[in-house]
Amino acid sequence: MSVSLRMYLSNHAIGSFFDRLRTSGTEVMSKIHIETTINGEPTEFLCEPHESLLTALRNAVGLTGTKEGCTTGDCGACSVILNGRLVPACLVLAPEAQGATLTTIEGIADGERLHPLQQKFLEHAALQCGICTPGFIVAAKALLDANPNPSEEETRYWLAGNLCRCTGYDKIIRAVMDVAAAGSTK
Amino acid sequence: MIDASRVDDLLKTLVERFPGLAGELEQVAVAIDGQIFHHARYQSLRPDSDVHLLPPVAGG
Amino acid sequence: MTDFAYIGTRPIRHDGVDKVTGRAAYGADFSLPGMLHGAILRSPHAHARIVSIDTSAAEAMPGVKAVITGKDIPPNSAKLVLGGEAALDLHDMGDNLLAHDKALYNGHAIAAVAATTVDDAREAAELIRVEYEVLTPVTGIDQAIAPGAPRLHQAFANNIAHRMELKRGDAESAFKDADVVVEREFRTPMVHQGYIEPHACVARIGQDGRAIVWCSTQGPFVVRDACAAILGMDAALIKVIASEIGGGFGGKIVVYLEPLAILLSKKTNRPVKMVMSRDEVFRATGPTSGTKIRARFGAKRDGTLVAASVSLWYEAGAYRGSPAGAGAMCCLTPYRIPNFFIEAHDVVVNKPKVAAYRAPGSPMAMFATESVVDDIARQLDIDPIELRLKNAVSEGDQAPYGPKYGPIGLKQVLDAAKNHPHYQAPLAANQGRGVACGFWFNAGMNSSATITLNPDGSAAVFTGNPDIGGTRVAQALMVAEELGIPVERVRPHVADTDSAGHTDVTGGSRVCYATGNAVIQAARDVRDQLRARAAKIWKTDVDRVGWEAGRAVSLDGADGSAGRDSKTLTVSDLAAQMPHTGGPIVGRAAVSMPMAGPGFAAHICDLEVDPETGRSTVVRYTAIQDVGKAVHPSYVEGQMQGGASQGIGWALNEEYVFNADGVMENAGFLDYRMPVASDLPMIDTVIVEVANPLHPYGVRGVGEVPIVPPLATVANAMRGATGVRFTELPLSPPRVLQGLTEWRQSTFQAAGPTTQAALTRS
Repeated sequence: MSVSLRMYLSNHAIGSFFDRLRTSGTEVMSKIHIETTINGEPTEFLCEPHESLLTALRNAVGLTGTKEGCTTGDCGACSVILNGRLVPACLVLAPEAQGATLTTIEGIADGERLHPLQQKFLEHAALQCGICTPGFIVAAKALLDANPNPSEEETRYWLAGNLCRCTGYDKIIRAVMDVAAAGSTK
Repeated sequence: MIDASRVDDLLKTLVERFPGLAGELEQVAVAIDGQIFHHARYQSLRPDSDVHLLPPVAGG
Repeated sequence: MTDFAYIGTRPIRHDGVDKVTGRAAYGADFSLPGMLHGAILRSPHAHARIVSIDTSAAEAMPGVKAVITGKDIPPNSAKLVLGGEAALDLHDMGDNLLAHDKALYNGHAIAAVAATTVDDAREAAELIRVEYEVLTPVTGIDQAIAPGAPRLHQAFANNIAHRMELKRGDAESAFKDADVVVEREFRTPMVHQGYIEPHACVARIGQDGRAIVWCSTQGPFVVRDACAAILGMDAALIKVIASEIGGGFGGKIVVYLEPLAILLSKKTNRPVKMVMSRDEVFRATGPTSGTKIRARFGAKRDGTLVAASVSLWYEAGAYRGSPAGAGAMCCLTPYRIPNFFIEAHDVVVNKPKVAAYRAPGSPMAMFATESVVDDIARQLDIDPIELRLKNAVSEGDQAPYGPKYGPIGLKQVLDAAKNHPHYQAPLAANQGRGVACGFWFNAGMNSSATITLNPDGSAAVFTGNPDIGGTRVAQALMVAEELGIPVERVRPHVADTDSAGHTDVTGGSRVCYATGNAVIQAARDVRDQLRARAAKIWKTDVDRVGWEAGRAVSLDGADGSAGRDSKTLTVSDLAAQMPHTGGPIVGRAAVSMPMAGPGFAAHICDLEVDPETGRSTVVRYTAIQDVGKAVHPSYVEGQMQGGASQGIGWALNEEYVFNADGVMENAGFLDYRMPVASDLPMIDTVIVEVANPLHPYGVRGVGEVPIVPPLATVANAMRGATGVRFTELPLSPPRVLQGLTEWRQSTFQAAGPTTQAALTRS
């Protein structure tokens, strides 16, 4: 996971971050203004330079659907899609969201219509306590976007970054493969 | 032999006979004819009731 | 009732859309204006006397509004009944919340800070100066009970806080008559429930002394009563609102944060939010005991078990109270054994105080006994299921803990295992198959339920039980069944402690059974009231009004029964007329239930072991369990699959790793290795239903039993795959590899020179 962190620190973001530090004229610890697109909506928020994207989403932006389970990138409960890539928001610095496109669990449904993954999770009873469910649905969407017809093994290995303690994964895998079989993903 | 028509009487008699049991019997589950009660204080007992005292176990 | 309209169906759960869209609010999702954040300073030492605490630097830091230590918790020696295992000593609980004289484990809370941001609170906590006199830590059972071991508490010599014995007949004599005797010593590690959601709460106390606590908990009434008792507050002044809960498994019954948040709120006159980090969850909540267990069984050549002797030592952690007694009570439950001796020891060690974990005490104990039974079967060359069937208990047999069993499904479960295609399937190279049984009591205790009827004929049902795994939809199914209205027209709610009648915890496999029974009785109360309203409308007596499939039926036919042309009124008809027939209809019930009647399970596991790396793969798994009655089969299957997965993790990879100083080295999900999706196959489930006569539908409870069989099931499969009996968990690759290497070496050394030469050449 630490390797992935390095991949996400793009030159552009680091550059503008330090620009702002140099030109702000105030203490280094003042908040940074970030402009991003979240779930299709232009969104602005303030964050500390060292703050994680997870904390910024949950607090500054108020989107609490993305969950904190570990802050070390091991549980997948904070899965979001950043510029088309599945990432753990706890290992992304909030300033990285500058100019980026983000999809969180709140953006998976299409208005009044649930995404097929959400519908199948419900039909298959692929959740018990539900805390891991947002992370799984985002991760499964990223899977089906990349591979619309995964095998059971491919599905299990893709979702190995998402911990579930309640279900034993059986019904989750069935739900995802059911969506793939129906062939209707967005 | 213990004569008691109710669990609280039974426990009181036991503690009178075996004072060392007092602490343990404060928190005890009682099985009466196969049914195990956590809150057994006023459960009635028949002369031929099969009674067992158990540590209270609930679960997680 | 045998023909159900709704019970046994699989509707989508009412809270489901909120959960798949991220709208559902869990403990950490809640915030209040003006909120402060709390952080805890924890002991780096596993065992130390606290010489002094200087909070001045923390208090002086900008943004810090309050600091508390152990002296802010009033001393208390009373007992608090939490309605479960041995009463929690308030003194111990208070000391665990914030240490007074000694730090008893690495992670033990020493002080708490409230500040305007989480970062400020954590930074301030680091500024608190604590002077420790470091003491020798007691890090394991052997060390704890050895003569001369350091004592955690003056009261417990040899760190043994409690000892229990269960006996029947004369085990020692009976062993002499056995044709075969197998004795082994087993070790299991400390493991954590592993709920994905860390503990979290927000507390606000007003100038009127009234407190509201929002928290993730299995027992809002426990939170209320524990906070009141620990803080010396009137429980009537505390309202607890349970959030959605992200897993508990028994670990969210004890309080760790809530009293501290209330105290900080009181000192600052602001709401205070406290959320644990994953590191804190591992070090400072309540895992379950590591154990040492010696188990000995004696049998006749025909497979009859004649004697058993089990000695259990369970780690309680820093304060007394492990589930050793429950383990003692569970371990021989499947068998008719005329002679046995069981002793259980509660051992304090410098580790976090253990809390309940799904069938507390049973998995470890039955790992030991079911492994030995397996070895007995092997020595006698009897199929392991046949051996169990031969000795299996049924109704009327005496349980090891005393009372006779009512109706139980062990034999049915074993038969289902024997006849399952899994049991006959061929095995490939390096694969072995294991079978084992499991047992749990299934709790009863107290629950309340309220049902309100709306003028449109829909209903709402309220209980105080947080919904961990689908109990709300199960309750809606019960109301639908009793009232004959569609399940979508029933809205189930988890109510707060001021709105719901008292209910005991969500846990103990009791919600569907005990709270469910309260819901059913409340629905029948509504039904009786509806019949009375129909009687009023029809100008007759209520005993002339029957009820069939959701409607009141007039019994005023000539022979007193409902005829073809009988008058009927549906729930909707009657609900619409409520204002005229007597006013609103509210149904209520409160129950105090005995234990449900135990659940038995048998699991089958095919394990493939790589002899070069020691890595194991579960290639096939089947869980078979008597649940009494499956109200919503999908969530019953889910409990069986989830419990099996936790047990598999416990068997194969999970363990607390402590260094010599008693500090946990793997306090994160990377190295505390729970099963992930790629570790497991699909888990097949078979639901057996032997009705529990204490419940109107026969519900027995399902949640806890499934974690019990996997430890021995996997170990027995390992025995089959490798030829080696492993007695120490987890069966992680390094341990398996070492065991295989040692077995190969000892087999080599025991072989004659010709064989040795041949093996060396090959």
